[in-house]
Amino acid sequence: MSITLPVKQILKFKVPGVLALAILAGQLALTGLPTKDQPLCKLKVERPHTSTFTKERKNLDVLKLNITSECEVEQKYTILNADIQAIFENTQITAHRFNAELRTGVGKGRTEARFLNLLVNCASLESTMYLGHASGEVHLANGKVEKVSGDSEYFVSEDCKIEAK
Amino acid sequence: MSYFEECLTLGRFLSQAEKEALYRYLLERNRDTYTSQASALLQEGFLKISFANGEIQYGIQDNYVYYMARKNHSAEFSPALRQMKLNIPDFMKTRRLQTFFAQAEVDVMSNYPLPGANRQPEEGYGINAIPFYDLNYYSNGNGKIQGLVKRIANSNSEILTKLRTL
Repeated sequence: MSITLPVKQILKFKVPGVLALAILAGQLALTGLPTKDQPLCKLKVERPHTSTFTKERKNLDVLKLNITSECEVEQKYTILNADIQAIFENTQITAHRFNAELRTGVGKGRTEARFLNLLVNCASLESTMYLGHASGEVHLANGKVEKVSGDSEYFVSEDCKIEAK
Repeated sequence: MSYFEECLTLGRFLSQAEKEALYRYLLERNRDTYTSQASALLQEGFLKISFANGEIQYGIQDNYVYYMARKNHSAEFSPALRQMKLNIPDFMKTRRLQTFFAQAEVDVMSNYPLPGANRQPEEGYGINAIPFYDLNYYSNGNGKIQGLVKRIANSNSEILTKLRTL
C-alpha cells in the first residue's frame, strides 16, 4: 500500500513577509549587529628625550617620556605601566620602570589621556640608546575596559645615562 | 620662600621622589589637623577643604572614604578616583584617614599647583595608581613585604630632610 504525502504543503511553507521581517528584527535586537573586533584605543608612545624645560627650570638633566592613549570613544581614565628600555653593553635592559600612573580623559569628547611628564634623572650625560614602552588599560565611559600596549618603535640615542633600577 | 612653598607651585614637575617625601612630610606636620578633620568627616560624612590651588571634598559612603577635587573657581570636580576601606574598628579609622588626607593633598598639589613660573602641561587629573599609604606602591605592585623593606630603606630621604629644614 502506498502513502501519498501532500508534497505541495510540506515544501510550500509560507511565512508572511511582515512576520519574516519581525523575526529578523527581533534576532538583531537580541544579538546586535555583527561587529568587527577592532581595538577602540591605541597608545602613542613618543621617543624618550632629554627635557630642556626641566633643565631650564630645575637645572636637572632628566629623560622624559610622553605617552597618549587615544580612543575612538569617550574614556574615563587610563592606567599605565610605563618603562624605558635601554641598550647597555650591547644588551637590551629595562633601565627604568615608572610607578603605575592614572590620567583622566581630556580633549574633545574626552577621548585622550595624556601622560606628558614621566621623568627620570640622568646619572651622567653619556650617550645611550633608549626606547619607550607602556602597557595598561583604558576604562571607557561606557564601562568597558580595553587593554592597550605600545612602544616608540625604535631605539634612539640621547645624551643621558640613567641608573638602571 | 620655603622649599615646601616652592613645591606648592611645581605641579606636574614634582618628581615621584618629591611626591613621596611630601606625603610623609604632610603626614607628620599635619597630624593634629588631620585628626580634627577625621573627627569631622566621621561625624558628618562629608568634609570640604582648600589646599594649594584646589578644593577637596571628602565623603564617606558604604564604609568607603573617597575624595573629589577641583581647581579653585572651577565648576567641575574630578571623578572620585581614590577610595579607601573604612570597615575597621573606630579607633583605627582616624589613623587611616590621616594617610588618606595626606595622599589627597599630594594629589591635589600636583594637579592644581599655586601659580608659579612653571607652565603646566595640559593633562587630565593624574595620580599614582597605587597610593603611598599602600605598601604595594614601594614595590611597584610586587607585594607588601617587599614594599615594607623598600619603604624602611628609604625612610629618610634627602628631600624629606630638605622639607623639614628649609
